[in-house]
Amino acid sequence: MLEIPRTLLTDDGAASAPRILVAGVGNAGVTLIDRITLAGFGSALDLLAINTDSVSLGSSVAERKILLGSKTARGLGTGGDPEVGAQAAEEAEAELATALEGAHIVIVCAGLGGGVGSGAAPILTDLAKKQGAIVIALATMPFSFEGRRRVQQAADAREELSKSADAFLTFENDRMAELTEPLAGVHDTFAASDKILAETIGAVARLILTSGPIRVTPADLLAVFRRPGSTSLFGFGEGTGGNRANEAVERALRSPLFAVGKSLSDTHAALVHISATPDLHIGEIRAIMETVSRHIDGHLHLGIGLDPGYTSLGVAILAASGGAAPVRAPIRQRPAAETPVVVQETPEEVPAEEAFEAPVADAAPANASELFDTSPYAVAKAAAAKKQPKPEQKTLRLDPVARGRFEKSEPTIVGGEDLDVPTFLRQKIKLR
Amino acid sequence: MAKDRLLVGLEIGTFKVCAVVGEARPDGSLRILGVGESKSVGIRKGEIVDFNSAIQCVRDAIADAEEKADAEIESVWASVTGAHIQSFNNRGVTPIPEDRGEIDHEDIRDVETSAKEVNIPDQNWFIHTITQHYYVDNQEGVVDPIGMIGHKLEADFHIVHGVKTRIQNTLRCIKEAGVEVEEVVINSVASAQVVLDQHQKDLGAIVLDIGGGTTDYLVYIDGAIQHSGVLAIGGDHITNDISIGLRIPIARAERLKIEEGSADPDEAQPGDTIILKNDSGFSGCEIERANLNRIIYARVRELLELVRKDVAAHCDLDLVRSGIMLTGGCCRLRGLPQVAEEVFDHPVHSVAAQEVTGPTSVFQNPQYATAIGVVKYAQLMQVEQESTSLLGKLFGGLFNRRSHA
Repeated sequence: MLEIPRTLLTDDGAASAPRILVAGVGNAGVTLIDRITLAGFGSALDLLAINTDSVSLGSSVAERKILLGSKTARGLGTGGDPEVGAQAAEEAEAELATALEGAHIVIVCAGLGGGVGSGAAPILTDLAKKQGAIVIALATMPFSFEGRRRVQQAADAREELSKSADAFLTFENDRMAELTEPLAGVHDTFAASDKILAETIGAVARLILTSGPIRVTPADLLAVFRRPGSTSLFGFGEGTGGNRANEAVERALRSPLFAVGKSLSDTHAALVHISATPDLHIGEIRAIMETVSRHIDGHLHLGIGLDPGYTSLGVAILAASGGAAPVRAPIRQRPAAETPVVVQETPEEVPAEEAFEAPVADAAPANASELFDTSPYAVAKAAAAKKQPKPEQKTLRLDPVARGRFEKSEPTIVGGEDLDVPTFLRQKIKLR
Repeated sequence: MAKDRLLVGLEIGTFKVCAVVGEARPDGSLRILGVGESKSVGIRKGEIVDFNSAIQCVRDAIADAEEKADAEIESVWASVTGAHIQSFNNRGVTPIPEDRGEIDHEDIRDVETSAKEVNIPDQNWFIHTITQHYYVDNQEGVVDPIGMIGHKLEADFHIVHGVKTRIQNTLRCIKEAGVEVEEVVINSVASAQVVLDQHQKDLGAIVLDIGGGTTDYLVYIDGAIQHSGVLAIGGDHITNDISIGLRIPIARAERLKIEEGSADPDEAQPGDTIILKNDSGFSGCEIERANLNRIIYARVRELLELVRKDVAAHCDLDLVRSGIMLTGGCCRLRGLPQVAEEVFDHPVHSVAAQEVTGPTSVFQNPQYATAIGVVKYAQLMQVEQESTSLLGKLFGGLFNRRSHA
């Protein structure tokens, strides 16, 4: 059960913007922190580099650095052993706790499979959670050719992280090759994957920090991820020019972190955040929301952030799929199908309304109020229409599912998974 | 009586239909006289999907068995499987009348009836009610309560049930093929009769029968069946995965699986390729061995993990002391025992029928374990029936065979 962190409640309303701390753990995490700094997101975020390897820390451009396990690892790394990583983190627990102090949202970035990423990241997540922050874990999974031990270590760490983090996004390195040309250099390939992760973090920051007519509060984030055991999905896309809305939303839906082929139809809640320059118009928002609701059959939360500084229109989609039914879900108590419930009327959205009253000087008030009323209404209507029994809608998948010779036989379904579909397809095992 | 001693077990499998003719010896041993076989058509995941083709297959297998064993087959004992088969454990209680005090066969039947007083879906049938343990006045570990004195008889049962119409379809198919059906038994119970000896049952063992279309499993703990289950995944799925993954025809994928396939992902060296020669309707190609093994490993590992999860939810795996007995056609896949060992963390043995005599080529092949097991089961049930009917005459009671009520 997720609760709204105390640190946020004690704040007197919308006075202070939430503080976001990005912690890079292990070599992969530290590299990512550097990439964020270089990409220019750094100013709005607190960056923290954590590693056992003093060389890697030394070359990092992060402002704050913590060397773990000066006794256990003696500044030389862990040798890929999560036990050592965990010990090193426990040794520096007090230091880590101080560093985490005051952060409302902690984004933990790590490459799983190695010693620090797999060993220390779960401990850091727990610490942040104890301090009452919302924790978003962002991790890369190792290449399958890195050997079974690393893959197993990564899987174990993933299990642990997904338990303690509020939201957990993973990126599989195996899919890296899909992002770049087949003959691209190693450096380019790694850079491409780092870029995606940096973009993700940037988008999360943008989502929370940008003010606009419909602001996203940490409570909205919690509403999306309230369901325990769910898998988090994240997609981000940008577009410019006349067709920027469609471009951005298509890109977001095709985003690699969305795990192509994973059925979005299983998604029960999603947060769509549109960030753009103040000239964003209502037609664009409607186009985006309609496209998204075609793919996602669940509650949609809409957020809009406007900033004259943006050069493009960005669409970020945060979604949670699977997982157990929420323990407490105020939205569910309403008969959604009877009245076209405006999704934004949920209690979590109240601050958004306040935000709409206050800071919007850029957007014309008439335009903005129209925007607030009609667009969500259209979305809710689309969602309500989805509730009607439509058999062909249910079988709609993003990717055609291959069942081969079992096409016509009774499916073997265990735990909601159609086991007739080849295992390697479902587990996304890369064939060469 | 001598005529009755000829027992025939029939297994309608996804890969093959197999009839085994056995001769029950007076000393309790079993001798296999002949095995008839035909390749299955119209069977998916252990169940009939094309009725007429299936009848023909059964007919062929029976005819083949008659020829091999030089005997005429009138009736068979049949094994059934399928995803619809479910199981649970339940305890029955019955009071012993004050004036009698001595437990007799009627009480045994009453306690079984009381254990079956549970809700199973309307369309389902009880297939097996297998006694696990008896308790007389809370005394544990009673092996045979008949003749004992007490006020209350309790018994734990392992109850197996399945969808009535689906079992009836199998029975009808066999009848249409011209032979009568004596009784049905589920695959895993049949296999366990021949792959386990009494010692292993007492120590605790898991029988894992991975066949063409289904995986049937059974857990023995302290000499009693503790859990059984059917998962509708088998060798067919591996073949299908290979066919989809490597983009080759099903028939070619099947051959490739048997000839080259391995469930060991580390076996293949990088760059190790297999050249598939061209066939009619297939232009030949070259495939990476690592890809083939990776596809197989993913499927096999998932299958075994699902079984382990289900077994662990019902039994304590620590009590399985003699390990996992792997049988069924699929267990001949290279590397499979190693994966099973990895998943279950228990010793894994690939076994075939052990408790029989006859042509070794037959009972050393794990493919035939179920069909031979059916014959063994038939033998055991007949011995039991005779003893009860003999006693029945003495006591003047009415006795039904222990069967699907």
